[in-house]
Amino acid sequence: MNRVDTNIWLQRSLPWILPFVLLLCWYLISSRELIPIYLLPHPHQVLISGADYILGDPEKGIYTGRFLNDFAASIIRVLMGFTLATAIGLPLGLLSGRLEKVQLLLGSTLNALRAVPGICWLPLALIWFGIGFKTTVFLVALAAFFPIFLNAEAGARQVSPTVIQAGTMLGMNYRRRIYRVLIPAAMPHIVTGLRLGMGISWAYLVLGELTGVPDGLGAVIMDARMLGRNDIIIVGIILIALIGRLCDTGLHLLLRLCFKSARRLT
Amino acid sequence: MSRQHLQIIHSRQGTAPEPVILEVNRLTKGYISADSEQTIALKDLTFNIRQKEMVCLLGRSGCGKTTLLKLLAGFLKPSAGDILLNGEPLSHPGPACCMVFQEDALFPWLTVKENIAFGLINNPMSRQQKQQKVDQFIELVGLSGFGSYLPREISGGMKQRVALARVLILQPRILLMDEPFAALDAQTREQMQKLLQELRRQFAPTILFVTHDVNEALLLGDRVLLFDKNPGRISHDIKVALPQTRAVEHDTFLRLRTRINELLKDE
Repeated sequence: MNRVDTNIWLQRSLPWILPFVLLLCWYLISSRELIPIYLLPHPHQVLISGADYILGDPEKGIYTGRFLNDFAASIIRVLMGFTLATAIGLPLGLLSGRLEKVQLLLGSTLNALRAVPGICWLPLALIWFGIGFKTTVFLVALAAFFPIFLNAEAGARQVSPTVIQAGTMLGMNYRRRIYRVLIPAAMPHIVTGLRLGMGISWAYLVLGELTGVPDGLGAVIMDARMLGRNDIIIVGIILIALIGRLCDTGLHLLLRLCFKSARRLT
Repeated sequence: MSRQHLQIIHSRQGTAPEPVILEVNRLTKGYISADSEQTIALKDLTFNIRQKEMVCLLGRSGCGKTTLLKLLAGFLKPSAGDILLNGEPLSHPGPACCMVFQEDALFPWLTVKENIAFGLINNPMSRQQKQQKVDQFIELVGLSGFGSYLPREISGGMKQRVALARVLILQPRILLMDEPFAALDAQTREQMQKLLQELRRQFAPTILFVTHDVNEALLLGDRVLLFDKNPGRISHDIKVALPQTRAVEHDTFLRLRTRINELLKDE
């Protein structure tokens, strides 16, 4: 094996070392019962509960086979909230980045709102929307709005005047200039904003579902705490992490598939 | 097409003048700066450009050359005076007055081919015709084989070739060039100057070319306008009585250069 091969091998394996070591530690700690089982479940138990949660027969236990149902409930809430945030945040951000008057109108208000931690909205959202779907969607949309808005704004602002002028000169009218010049030129920032927004959507989904909704991945975690099923809590955390990661990759792929500029500039 | 060429070359050598295409009358542009003081960038500018003529605008940096081009392109509105294109006042920016910018005005998310085809979107030609035309212009500017490259993958000189092709393809009535070769190295600049001369022979566009390089102005221009600073105005209008193919070593060339350098020093 020559040096280049070794380097590639090292690069591929490096990211896996830390998870592997952590898993090994967890295994050793649990096997020797250094930490009591009610604080940290055995990885083997987590694996069994996980398989049961995903594949088991729904009739046979509280958590068996619930995954699909919970996943569907959660992903719908995330997508609704995220879509709402995009539909409002993206156009407003682009406008605010290009037009000084819009920026002056919105800038300080939105920055003040942004300073309020998202959790603070929870009690008010519960009063307005009750427990469940609407509250969760509201929280997700609110949280995802800011990264989407701010990045679209920054992206639109940094588009060089020369590129816009070139578009005008080549015969683009106002509307075409937005779709064919402004948005593609701002695309790297827009993509960053959407991905950040998607990430934070999952965080606020769990917050929204912690309040006693019957279904959803966040609800399962909270429910499992009440019943002392910490193995299920860990299963939920791992699943949310995995699905969040998949959503990010999926979103990025989708954007690259749909937009030349996303494909070529990011 | 080829007969037209002969006529063009002939008429340039002959005496019959081409009609005036661009008329600038007492053009003035002032700015209000941040401390609300007024600065006059251009004052009472008056000049004409005839069809198929190449006029070089020569002056030191900061004398308002770029402001003038932006006014002519329609990106800025004059404070006073008129700009007439074919006898009609210039309204809004568009393909009639196209600009080749100094650098980095290509669309970075589009390939060379797509950049050149960009302005054709309003053109009723069929897709296939457009394709053919784009290929033809890619070849004209010497970029055959680079059609599918992105701007970031090609050199500065090649980018300016794309910038030239994407405006020439629209057949603008007047081509504005804002120090288009200033950011290139000496050799590439020379190549680009040759290319521009070649394109002039083929298309005979009307060109207003801004530069701060005396050699470049004398190599390319039919006329050289000297620009004066504070406020920006034209101090001299010099006809370049040189043959089509010019050499820097030519006697007349050297004499003109010495004279222009003296004039620029005086200002």
